[in-house]
Amino acid sequence: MINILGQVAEGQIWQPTLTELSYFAPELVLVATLLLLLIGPLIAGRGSGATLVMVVVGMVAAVVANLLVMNQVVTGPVSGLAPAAGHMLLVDNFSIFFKFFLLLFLLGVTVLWMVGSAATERNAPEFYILLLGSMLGMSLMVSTMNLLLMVMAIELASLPSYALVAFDKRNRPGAEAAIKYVIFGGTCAAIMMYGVSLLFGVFGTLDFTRIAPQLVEIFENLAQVPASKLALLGLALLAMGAGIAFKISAVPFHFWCPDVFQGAKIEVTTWLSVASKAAGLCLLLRLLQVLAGSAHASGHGFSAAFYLQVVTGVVAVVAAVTCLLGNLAAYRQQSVKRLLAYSSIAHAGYMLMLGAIVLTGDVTQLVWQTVVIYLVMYLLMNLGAFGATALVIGQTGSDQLENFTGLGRRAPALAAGLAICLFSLVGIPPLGGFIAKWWLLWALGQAAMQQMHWWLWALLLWASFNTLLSLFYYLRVIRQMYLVNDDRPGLKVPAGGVVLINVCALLLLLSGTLLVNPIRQKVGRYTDHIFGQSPASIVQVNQPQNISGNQLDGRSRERIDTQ
Amino acid sequence: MYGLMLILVVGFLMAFVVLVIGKLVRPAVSHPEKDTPYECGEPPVGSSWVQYDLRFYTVALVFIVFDVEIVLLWPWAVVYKEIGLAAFWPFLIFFLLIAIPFIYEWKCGYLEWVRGSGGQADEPPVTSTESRRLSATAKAMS
Amino acid sequence: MDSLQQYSILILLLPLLGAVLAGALGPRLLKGATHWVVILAVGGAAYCAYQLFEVYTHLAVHTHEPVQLVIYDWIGMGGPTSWLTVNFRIDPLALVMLLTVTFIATWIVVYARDYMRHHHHPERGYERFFAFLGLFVFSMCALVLGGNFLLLYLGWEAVGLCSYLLIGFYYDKPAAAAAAMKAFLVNRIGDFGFGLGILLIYLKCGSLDYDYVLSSAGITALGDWAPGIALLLFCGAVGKSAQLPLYVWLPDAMEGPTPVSALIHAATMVTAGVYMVARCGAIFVTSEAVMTFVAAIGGITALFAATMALVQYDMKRILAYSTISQLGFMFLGLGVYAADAAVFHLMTHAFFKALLFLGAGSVMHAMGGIIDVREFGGLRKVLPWTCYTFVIGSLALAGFPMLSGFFSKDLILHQALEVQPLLGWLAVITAGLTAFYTFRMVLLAFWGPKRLPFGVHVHESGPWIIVPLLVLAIGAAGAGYYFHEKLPEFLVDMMTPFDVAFEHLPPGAVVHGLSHEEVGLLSGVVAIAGIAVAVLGYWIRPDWSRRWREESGWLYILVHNKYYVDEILATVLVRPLQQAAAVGSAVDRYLVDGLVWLVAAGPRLVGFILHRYQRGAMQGYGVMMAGGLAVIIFLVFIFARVLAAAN
Repeated sequence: MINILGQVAEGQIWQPTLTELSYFAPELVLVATLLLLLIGPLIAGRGSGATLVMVVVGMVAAVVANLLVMNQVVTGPVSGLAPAAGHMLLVDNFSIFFKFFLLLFLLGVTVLWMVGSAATERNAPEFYILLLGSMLGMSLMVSTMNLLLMVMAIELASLPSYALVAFDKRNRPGAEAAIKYVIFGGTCAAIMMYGVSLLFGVFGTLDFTRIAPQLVEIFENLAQVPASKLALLGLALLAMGAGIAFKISAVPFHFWCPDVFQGAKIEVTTWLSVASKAAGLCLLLRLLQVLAGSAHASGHGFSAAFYLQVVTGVVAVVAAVTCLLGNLAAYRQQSVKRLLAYSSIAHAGYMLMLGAIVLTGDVTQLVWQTVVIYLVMYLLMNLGAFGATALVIGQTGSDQLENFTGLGRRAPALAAGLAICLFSLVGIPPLGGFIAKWWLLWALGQAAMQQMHWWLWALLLWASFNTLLSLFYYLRVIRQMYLVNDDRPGLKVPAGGVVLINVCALLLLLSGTLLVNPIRQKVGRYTDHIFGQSPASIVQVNQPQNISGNQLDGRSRERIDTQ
Repeated sequence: MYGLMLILVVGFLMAFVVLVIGKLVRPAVSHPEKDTPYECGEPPVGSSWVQYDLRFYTVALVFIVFDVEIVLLWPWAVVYKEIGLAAFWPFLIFFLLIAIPFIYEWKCGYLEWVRGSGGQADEPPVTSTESRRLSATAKAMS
Repeated sequence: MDSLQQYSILILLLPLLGAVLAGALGPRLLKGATHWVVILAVGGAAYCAYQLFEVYTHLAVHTHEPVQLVIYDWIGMGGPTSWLTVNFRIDPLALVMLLTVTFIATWIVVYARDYMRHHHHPERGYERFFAFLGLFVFSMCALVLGGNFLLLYLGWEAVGLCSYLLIGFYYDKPAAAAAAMKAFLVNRIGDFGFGLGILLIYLKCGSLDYDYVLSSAGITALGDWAPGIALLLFCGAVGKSAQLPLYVWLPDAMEGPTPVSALIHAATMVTAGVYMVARCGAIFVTSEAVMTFVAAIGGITALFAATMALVQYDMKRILAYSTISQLGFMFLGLGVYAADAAVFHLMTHAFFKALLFLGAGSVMHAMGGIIDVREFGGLRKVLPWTCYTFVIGSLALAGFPMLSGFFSKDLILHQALEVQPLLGWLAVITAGLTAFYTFRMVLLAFWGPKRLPFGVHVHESGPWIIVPLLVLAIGAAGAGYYFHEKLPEFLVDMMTPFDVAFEHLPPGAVVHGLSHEEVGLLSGVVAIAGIAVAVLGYWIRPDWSRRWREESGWLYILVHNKYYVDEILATVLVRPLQQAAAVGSAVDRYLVDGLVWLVAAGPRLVGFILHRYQRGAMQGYGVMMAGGLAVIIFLVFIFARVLAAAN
């Protein structure tokens, strides 16, 4: 029932067919847009107008490509590129969702950029080249099936991000932030690559689906496995985890986050706060899912995945600590950017909790649905909150909390939108943030019911408790906007920005009320047939069929049709 | 477990012991000449902590990129005969992906030792009103 | 989406949209034209309500089965308890309420256009006022349309909020602010019981949908708790519908602008309690004692409030007491299993009481804000339109034969005399008193020698005020006759639980006394007698009324001071509460605040510590990252060991 394409016999060189390539049309379109942005300005001039046209064309093309791919893939289980050496890339419903998600967010950031920087920024093409580059990396992160490609994807996502943080060359805090980001990012990437190389050493393959069975075997015979191998393995997994944790900014790899968020241009901060974390998180989930699925599939029975709970336990602890630390550290911040940075750490913690339960077989579907909903809500909330902050910075020159004084009177529409986004970040009903948290708690509760583990209930309580904690510092901003007033003059905020923020607020409001049900129905579409969810799919992947690439072409086509 | 620890300990000890043995065995005759870096008669000029011109790095980066490309070209060239066109197209795309940024860099003037004005702008240009004000001030001063 | 759903959603959305537009655009853009938005919105809602009625009656020509519309699941997550579903229930009761509310509200909004503009508070908060009106109509429609107790509760609280906002509309007037607070607090007492009742329903039934709770299965699930729950729900009704002993807020609520008094505190909102009891009939009829209690509260309140209305001089206050009294009639009707009569009376009352309040507002408008009937008189000549529409409303209220109040009151009296003869006869007396105090007010204000307050330029109101008065006068005159057979027929489905319970009353509980015609005759005679006495005492021989007043001595003083209920409440309830509050606030200040401070201090302290370690020094970060990684490695080994041991 699987149509991983391009399985070729050993010794033959794999060559993708057009059908196979077409599954990666969105990525290819992104690459083409990138190249267009490199060459185009040399011909059409470097004005932000021309750049915008090119970006919009690219975005539209990517959306169309994604839609086309969706129609081919979403109905069937999984498609991907898989040379004989091992699986490389994967297209399934979730990766398609994630590309939509990134495109939607890119749209939001573009609007923000047009409102805030387009008039003065003279390096527009470079901004978008870097942005699209990191976007490409992120979308690859969510489609990867191979350790090497994972490293590549993370690097592709990271390197442009470093440059983006330092984009404003005359901004000293930005430069400092970028240096920190590069050094920590580089260190973590090095640690990760070290881990990956160790894993290769232990397992002799880079393919996720082939690592998992071996992993299970090791766990099953824990007593017989030499301690040195175990230590090596633990070290390798951890080192790999460090790289991902850095992207998610999970404790203890979160230190870069506030500094970078504060130093970078606000559009970049917005981008990193959502896209980078989302990509890291989805990569982690996918990794765990594939590991679990492969473990099941390798015939080790259902107890097999249980051993992976070592991983789960660590994820749960990290998630809990991340959440708490983010919420606590946000308390004393005077800089709203920094406050939101800590808030994003806390939210990363909430989402990471899903990583802890993705291995509970019965709730995987729910987990993926929760991820989709949480990410979309998180996107809207953060876009709104950061966007409003961007507008305040644009008008007052700084993001200090005191610049928000009396905003309710000085810029009522802006303040109202921001307030809704902040309330949503807390998770107050009936806003989108509440719905996201509700799904999260529901998933945790279901997992706890299934597994009857006290620590899952504890995690659930912990999440609720943290929500309560977070209330206070968000309220500080709202209080400053509405209850403190010292007759500052009104703000003339650009209409486009206000519209963007209020659209976010409105969507949050709607998704908490009228759209709850439509969203629930839509979500299924992107979370069906996640690769690794049904162990059966992986079994077939691991039995290479002795057919040549050419023969396969027709067959794969047929399989897609029959599904 | 113990094996790993043994390796660590032994590795550390070997380095340490060799250094200690050297310290104990060698004669210690101190001389200013002997304390200089490069103990070969060449007197050091200034500090070694100097800033290199950023432009070196640009060129170096481009060099490395193409250096790596050569490395990748090698196996390609080896199998080219057997595979034919199947190897040609991917490599053409790969080459394009490197060539286009190179053209960009070239056109933007990053390869010029003395920067042209075609590329990215560092400083905001003097706006027309500002320049008018400036020229007005100049006139007033003269 | 079928048309039922469309119309029911529009009924809700239009007023909300109107309110939002008025609130958002009013102060800057619409300004003096804000009323149009709300008039169109509420009028549109009225139209939709009518269309809904049409569609519904065509759907269910023979049976008036309720239609349950699931608008959307909010948070259901599957499972049997889909208690957060937003659903509407469209049935005759809801339709009658919707039509009444939206129709009356439309004309009151029209009326408010001139009233708010030219009143003695010119232009102040004009937009705010209309936004609140729209919000009120929205809340009331949500209350009525809702198909479960949660929506009922939300609507219930939302109308309470609107009422609070509108009573305190002139918030710089201390009396208005105090009245708003009083209304809010008194309602809180009732709502507490109401909320508790709903919670109990959820706990016993596992659902809040009317479909389930009010079905026989739901009633079975409630079991022995049903009477208790009914009493708790009735608590809410007592508060919202201003019955003994929680009626005290309503007379004070007259501090709000007159259109508000007309709409909220007479015609629609206060009837929410009546609606709720009629809706939850299935729960209430489980116990005869509860029904008797409801009837008794209603009957006694009716009499009690009527006596207080006898001696008031403020027109709006007289009307407020009369509202309390008429609401008492409705509860009496509910308590004697005549729910259709109660709902009928609710509807006719909405017409004539809105009319009377608007008339009083018109007088107030003309008198420059003075509403005390001792200050003026003989306005018949100067305010002809107001006067004659007011007389029609008064006749309807008094129960003058063939006007609307007559029919509905008649039905209630008939059944009351059968089931609770004592309360029934009290109600007959009350009806007489009603006629008397109503015409006392009419005569004092409009007849007799012309007296005007000093320095007032009297003028009849413009068409924006007169037209609503005329429309409502037609309704007050004709609605009773027009609907007196149709409405009970329409509501027959709602009546099922009441009828069944009525049939099962123990033998001897029902006295077959007077026939319909006899009761009609009796109430007509009583009404005319009441009017005649008023005419005698206040028009033909004015000195008589003075003599009545002087001769009744302590009784007059007692009634004039509203039976000292406010004072008694102050001693029994408010002062102990204040003392408890003082203790509470001390506890709050020293204990709870301390705790809260502690709760917040913990994070703040940790935040401070974290702050110190996140200062931007990279070396520090590096060390901590390495340390963290070490901790995690340690954790991994612990987990691995534990799991290995477990297996």
